[in-house]
Amino acid sequence: MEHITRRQFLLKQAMLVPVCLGVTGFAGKVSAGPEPFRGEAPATLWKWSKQALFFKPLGQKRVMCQLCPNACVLSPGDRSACRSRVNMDGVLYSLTYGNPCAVHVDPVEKKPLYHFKPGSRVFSIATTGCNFRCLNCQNWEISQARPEDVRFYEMFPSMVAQKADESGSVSVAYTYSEAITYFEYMMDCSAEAKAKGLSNLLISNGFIRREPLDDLCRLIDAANINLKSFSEDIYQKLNQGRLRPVLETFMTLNRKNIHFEITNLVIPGYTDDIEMFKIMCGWILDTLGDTHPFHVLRFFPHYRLNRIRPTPVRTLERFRDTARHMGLNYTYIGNVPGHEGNHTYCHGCGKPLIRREGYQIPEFHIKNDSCVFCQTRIPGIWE
Amino acid sequence: MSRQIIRLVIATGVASVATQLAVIREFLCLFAGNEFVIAVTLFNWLLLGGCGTLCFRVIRELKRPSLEGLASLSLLLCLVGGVQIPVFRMVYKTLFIPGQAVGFYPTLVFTFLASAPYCLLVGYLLPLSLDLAAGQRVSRASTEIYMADSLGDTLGGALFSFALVWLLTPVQAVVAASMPLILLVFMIQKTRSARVVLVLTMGILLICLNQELGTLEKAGIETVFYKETPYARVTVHEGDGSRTLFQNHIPRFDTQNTEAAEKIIHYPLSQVDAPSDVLLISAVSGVFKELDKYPLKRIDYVEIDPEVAGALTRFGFCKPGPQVRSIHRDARLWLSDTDQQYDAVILTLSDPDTYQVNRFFTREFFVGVKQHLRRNGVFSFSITGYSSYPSDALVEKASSLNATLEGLFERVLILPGRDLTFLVKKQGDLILDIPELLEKRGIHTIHIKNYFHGDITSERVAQLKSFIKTPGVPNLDFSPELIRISFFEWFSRFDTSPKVFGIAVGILLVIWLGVMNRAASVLFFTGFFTMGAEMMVVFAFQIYFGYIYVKVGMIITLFLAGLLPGAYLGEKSSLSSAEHRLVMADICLVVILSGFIALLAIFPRVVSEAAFLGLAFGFGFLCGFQFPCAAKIRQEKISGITGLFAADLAGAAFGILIFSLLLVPALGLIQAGMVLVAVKCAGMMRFKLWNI
Ligand SMILES: [Zn+2]
Repeated sequence: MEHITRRQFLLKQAMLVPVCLGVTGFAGKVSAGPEPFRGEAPATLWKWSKQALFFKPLGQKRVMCQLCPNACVLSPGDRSACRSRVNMDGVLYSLTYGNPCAVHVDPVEKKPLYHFKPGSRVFSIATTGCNFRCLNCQNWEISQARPEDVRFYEMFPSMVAQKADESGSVSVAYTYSEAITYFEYMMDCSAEAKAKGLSNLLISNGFIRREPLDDLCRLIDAANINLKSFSEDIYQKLNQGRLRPVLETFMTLNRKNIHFEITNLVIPGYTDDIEMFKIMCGWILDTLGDTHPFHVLRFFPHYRLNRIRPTPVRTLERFRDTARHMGLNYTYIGNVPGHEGNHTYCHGCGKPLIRREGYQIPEFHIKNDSCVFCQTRIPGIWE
Repeated sequence: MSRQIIRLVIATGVASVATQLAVIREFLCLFAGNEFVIAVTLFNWLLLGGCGTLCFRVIRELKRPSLEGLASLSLLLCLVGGVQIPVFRMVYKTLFIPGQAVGFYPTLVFTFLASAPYCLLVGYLLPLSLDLAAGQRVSRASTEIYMADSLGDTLGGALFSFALVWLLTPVQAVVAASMPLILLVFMIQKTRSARVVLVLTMGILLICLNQELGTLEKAGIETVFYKETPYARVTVHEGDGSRTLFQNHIPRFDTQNTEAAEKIIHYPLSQVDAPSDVLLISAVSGVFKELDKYPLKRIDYVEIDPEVAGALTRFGFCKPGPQVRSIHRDARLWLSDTDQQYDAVILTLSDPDTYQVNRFFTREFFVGVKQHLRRNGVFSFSITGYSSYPSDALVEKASSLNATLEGLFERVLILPGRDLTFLVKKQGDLILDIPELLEKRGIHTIHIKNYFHGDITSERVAQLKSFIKTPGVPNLDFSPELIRISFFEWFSRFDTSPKVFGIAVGILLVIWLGVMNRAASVLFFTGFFTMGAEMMVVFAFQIYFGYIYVKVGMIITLFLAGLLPGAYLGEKSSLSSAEHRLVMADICLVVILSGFIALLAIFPRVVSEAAFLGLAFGFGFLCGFQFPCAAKIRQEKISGITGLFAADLAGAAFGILIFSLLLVPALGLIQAGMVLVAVKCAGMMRFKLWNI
């Protein structure tokens, strides 16, 4: 009655196969960069959606986004890898315009920017979206979300400038998620802010194409660009990004004389290799010069990278010493409260110029952009 | 010969249960350490075991089984068991980015494929033994084998939970538990070549034992402490002047993280005028140094795992002073036993995303805390927060915790930040300007003084408050709202959804129900029901009596132990027809669980510890009782019996998954129990109406 033939056996086995295969499909995917989301555009655009400034029609209503080096190719109904741009009937639109989901007033030191109007307040905004997929993202709730899935404020660019002004901020920062992905909004906000006499700060991973960056440089006053490592392999592994375009961004900013600071997160087991760090410092010195403040940050386990221990302070100290020794005079240690690596020392006379205690500035000895003790010019925007 | 087979089955039971307990602990270290991973792993095993049993039906047609064959396969089982844990670790390292948390679907695939060899083999061995033992009297043999298997499982479970887990490392435990089986194989295998194979196997196992610690090393840092405790794997790593203590591969304490200690101690203590007695539930690095800034009379420090507490002092994470009393107990139990009153109760556990930790974030626990707080006492705890935007899941969690605290405490203050800190006071106001409070008292801090005002602006506090939903859904012992939210958050963190898995399980369930015969369906539903009931007993027990490793081990052991006399009685009893007995047992199961649910719902305090243990035994007994009855209905055919084994395993697989992942988070414990009863009744109806 219950005799099973070999054929039936194979049949039963075959039934199990799709179950196994179905699930393995999730594990096996390895890609070079983040992929666009096929057919995931919303049915209708958000009321303030704006036609993208940088894209190229490819025929048959397909478009290629020209904003960042991901260069997403989208058919109608597709959504870009950063989740912010959609192809609607052959036109690329940005869904992130006038709908910031994070709005805060922060101290400028928190960005971190140490050589830009110390102690000032910064009106900081972000919409959703990012063109990377960092495993340790601090803002994954918005960077890896779609604009329509979050709580947001309705804030047209003019209102951003007005609110920033009212809050007593001297600048507007485009930060938290990836500012490049809300490029059009950032551009218009910057213009409004500039008109009100406010500065504009770009806090970014630097993964942007040359043309949009050139436009942006006309409006921003300072930037902090995160140099995540100096290895294409690590960029790929931890961030699903690429190093080369980021380096080009640094070179462009440098050429345009924009004040920028560089941050580098030291992750144990990944970016705590001193040899790689030396190459990085060497590149910075050779290509960008010695005037750019450089922050080496302590890593804390977070988001998906939660099984790695925090960076030992001694590692950071060694990195800072190495960088300073090589000639990067303004190298700071970040995320270590109370560390002397937070203070600014004159590269002329070695005296402490700015003493930082968290976000407070108990001592400040820079006048007319120069050291009050020896009159050496200190790079940065001080007033 | 049949004696030898029975012995082999018992020894296989011992080895396999101990091995699987060791493997599940390994998975909890490699993957997320939550109950979802346990449920998914058990699901995989039971399903694979069922498949192994079914495989036997087919292979039997191709090759006549022999005792030597059984012995060889048993040896293979020992080999796979010993080798697999080091192999898992190495494969894991090559597959996944080191330091990265692994999401649900890769976890599912890894645990399924990794478990497959061992579980298929175990599932295959059971009917093979049965077939060999059978001769002409299949039904009796099946009961004997079933009993021997249950006995082995019971012994293996007991051996592991009461001895091996306390004394040995995972591979050592597996090899130790496999020794009786290896010895039996040695006695059966008389040929030279077989003995050579045996020696080779032993050699490989020795290599695994030797290499075990090496597979735990982390690149670039030194392991200065390693201990497997019943609660977790505890390691301390040291490098470049700092030490980190990991529990189950998650960094929990770091000697240079001074920021956390400041927040954890000063946020609550600054709110109390003259604190003298403090209860600390778990700790972070450097807490006692911060506590020393107050003139305290007594600090009760509860750390359930004495090994963790010991390592914290030994490796310089914390230096408890003379006023510190270290208590190695479940903190909930401690609170229910002590009369001590406190000025501050400070809870620093990890996030409430397991049933285990959730017990410290429920209304019932908060009521207990309140009873031990002095009039102006303060209570604080925190969960993982956000940098700039709280996700919907986090807002839901905060709303739920807010609702859980409201009504109990006069004031609730939630501080935003990378940790969301909840401060509550029995009476009186909570003041937000903590740096000023500390300044007034002359207490010096580094982090709070300099960063508080930039991070915790009144605008951020107000914004968070505006997000909190009122009324929120409170988090209760029997209705763990936070677990439900965490389940979905876990998926969203990995940008996936549980839908695909749910649908796959649903399809599998329908197929299984479709191909099953009448007697098997009873065992399927019994497997489903008892596994669910078993989980319910364990969850409820933990809620009342705390997480006491030995006692939870006892519950499971008693369940397994109940199977044995149950099966014996089911075989012997001839009072009525097998079918009638089957139905009677079903009715008993339903009545007992219903009674238990009623007790929990109406007089929860009446339920004693002994009642839980008795209940576990009772479920085991009835489950065991049903097996021989079903075997009789199946006309005593080998192939039919294997189908019964498989049905029982599959039922258990779906039971554990659906009960702990779906029913409890969605409905709460009591209601989930009711669903179990309903499902069992439906199964019974299906059985009665089968031929009509
Ligand atoms: Zn100077």
